[in-house]
Amino acid sequence: MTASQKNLHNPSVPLRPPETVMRLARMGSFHQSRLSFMRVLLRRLKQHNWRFDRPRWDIDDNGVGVATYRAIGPERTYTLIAFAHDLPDDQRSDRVIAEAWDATFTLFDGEPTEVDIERLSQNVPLQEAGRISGSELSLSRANRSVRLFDYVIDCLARGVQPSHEKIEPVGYLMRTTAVYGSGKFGAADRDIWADRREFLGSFQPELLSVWLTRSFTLDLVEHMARVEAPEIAVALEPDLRRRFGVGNSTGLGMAPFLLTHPTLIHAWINAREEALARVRSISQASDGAIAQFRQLLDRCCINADNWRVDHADQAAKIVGLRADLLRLKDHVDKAGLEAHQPWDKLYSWAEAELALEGQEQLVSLMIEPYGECVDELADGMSADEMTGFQIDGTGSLGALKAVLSGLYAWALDTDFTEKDTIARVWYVSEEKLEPRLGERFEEPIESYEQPLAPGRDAARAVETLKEWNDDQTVAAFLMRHPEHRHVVRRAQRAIDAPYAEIHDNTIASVMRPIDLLRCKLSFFGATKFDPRSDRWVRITMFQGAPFPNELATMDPDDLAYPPMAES
Amino acid sequence: MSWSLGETRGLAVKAARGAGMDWGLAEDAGFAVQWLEARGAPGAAALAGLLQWYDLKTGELAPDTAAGRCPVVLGTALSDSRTITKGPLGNIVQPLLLAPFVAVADPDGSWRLTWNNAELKISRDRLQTDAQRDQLLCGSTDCRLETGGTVGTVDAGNMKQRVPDTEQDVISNLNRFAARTYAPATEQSRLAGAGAGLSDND
Repeated sequence: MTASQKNLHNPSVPLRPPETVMRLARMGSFHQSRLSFMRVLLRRLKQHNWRFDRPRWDIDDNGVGVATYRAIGPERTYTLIAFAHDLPDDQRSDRVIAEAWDATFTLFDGEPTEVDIERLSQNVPLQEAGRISGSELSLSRANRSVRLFDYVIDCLARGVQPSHEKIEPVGYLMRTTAVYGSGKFGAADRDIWADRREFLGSFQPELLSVWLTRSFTLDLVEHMARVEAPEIAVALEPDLRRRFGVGNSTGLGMAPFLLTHPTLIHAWINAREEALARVRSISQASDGAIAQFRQLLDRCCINADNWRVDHADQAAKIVGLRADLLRLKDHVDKAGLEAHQPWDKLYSWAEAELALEGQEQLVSLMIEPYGECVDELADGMSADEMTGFQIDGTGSLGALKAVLSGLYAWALDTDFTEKDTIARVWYVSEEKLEPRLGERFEEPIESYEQPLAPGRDAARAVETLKEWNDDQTVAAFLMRHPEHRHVVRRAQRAIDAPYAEIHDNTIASVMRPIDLLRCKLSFFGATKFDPRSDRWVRITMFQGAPFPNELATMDPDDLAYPPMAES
Repeated sequence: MSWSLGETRGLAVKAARGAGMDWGLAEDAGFAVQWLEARGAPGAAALAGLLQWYDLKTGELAPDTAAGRCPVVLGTALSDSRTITKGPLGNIVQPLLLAPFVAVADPDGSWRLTWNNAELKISRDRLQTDAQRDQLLCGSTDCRLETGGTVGTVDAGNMKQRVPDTEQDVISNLNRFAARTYAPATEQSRLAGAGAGLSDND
């Protein structure tokens, strides 16, 4: 670490305030970064020399059967068990209400016996309708890309490589439509494995299972090509093979997560903001960092050029991003990065000149060259939601009123009697327990409302508190008004976690659930956000990343952006 | 078959809400169930019993002479105020559910919660009892809280990581209450409420 980097752990540039960061429009413009969980996983697996193999491949000529993929670490081994099915086209759906899939998966904690595999073969293909046990860490399923799957098999069976132009807009052969972990449907609770070195941070087992699923999807098409034409079929050539990631189809099921995990969200955002502050505080950029940044900026432009969507709003955002990236390049060329605190100056310029997509893309780019300074923050991107769960009722209502009006200042200026302000209702449908977002004044769903509007709840609490003296206790207040327990708990937890609360109304008619989805997915490491509506998005994960047999010899971080020379 | 503690807590919250508790109070009910199950006590069963009762009442603190007080309402009053006064508590429904809140109210202390012939020792976030299941699951009964007679920590026993198969009926019972929080599906809600409204194939 150079002299100019020594003060990083007390960055001179402050972290961006929650009022700036925790706005849905900005959160809905986040991009993946080196702190994204996918990248943290691969860095760690590489650093600790994990080995990988495929003990079992029992897939028949129809593409049906079971396969296992092992990840072997210094202390523990994990096994992805993949069940491949024969799904009729008309049954294929990404919705929670689907009941059958092209492939189903579970990540086993260790090495499964035949008895385990038999038990799991009775349950995993049923997904939510089955049960898994404490030996399993995750449960997931995937469907084929109708655009690419058969096309790729067809090419390989004819002995040719599929075309880059056809692959790039999709970027995957199969997409997961749910990946469940942390105690769901019987899986092991998070605290059973959360302290394991390989799983520090968030969603590590889930992402390990997705990364191994990626291998399965590639093995499957190569297998089907060989079945079709054993003499002529070829495998994908390595650079092209890497252009396939795993798709993911995400809807409203994920949207409440940012609201139901406030302490965790604070940990994620705080780490990213700390990383940004550290880099902005650097007094001098090395030649190496500057060169790396410029190259990544070019590759980022390629990424933006390849990012194709149908959704009009997002298409407009991408057009704006491409233009902003060119302006950014131009500015960097003219202004250079040799000045004092060059990154802070660059960020300040971007904040004034670029739209949110461009600003947040720059945030991701700026921290890229500085792994040494920021990667350690990834281990802290986790939280125990039961910490801070207990309400402290011993304090005064005066203090509580101050906390509520501070945290929810934006909500106190909102009129929650206006129809547009409370137009939406988050609820769960009895139809396979699918989370939905309904219209309060058009559907009979209000009585089923889930507690996902903390702004409105805070405004209600503040209203009730007007009739209480400041010197009375929170406990006395809550005994008379248990309806405010939920928001009082939220407010108290947020005192030490400033990024825990979203500073926007989550039930407004103009609220876009997709902003919540994109924020979370950016932390996963997703690229190519492809909104299908305002509440449904497709993404790609691990596109460009090394495969297990390549991890030892390739740099997973360098592959996060498309390569310079497109073949 | 067994259930993870996390999903059991989630189910408990939904079930409590389905029976009529406010969401915030339901969250506390979920905490209590997980705390008990993690210590080998039938918290889920106690909640199922409480919710049958809660279904028919308002859940407000009732005078001692009335037919039972809600342990979650009383329990949160203790844990919120971080204060316990020893002595009789009156008639409590499913008093097992009080234990977690006693632990929160006085994390460093030692307490004895008793009713009929059941005695629970609560000390430093641990639970110890020799009472059998049918003594622990008590419709409604007079209870007392006294400070613990013995110095030092309660023998923790083994913490549990799962809710066992024996609780299948209890889980089904809680699922019935939880189902009241799910809106009936309609064609309109299926089309508009989620999804792309287009074919999912890409």
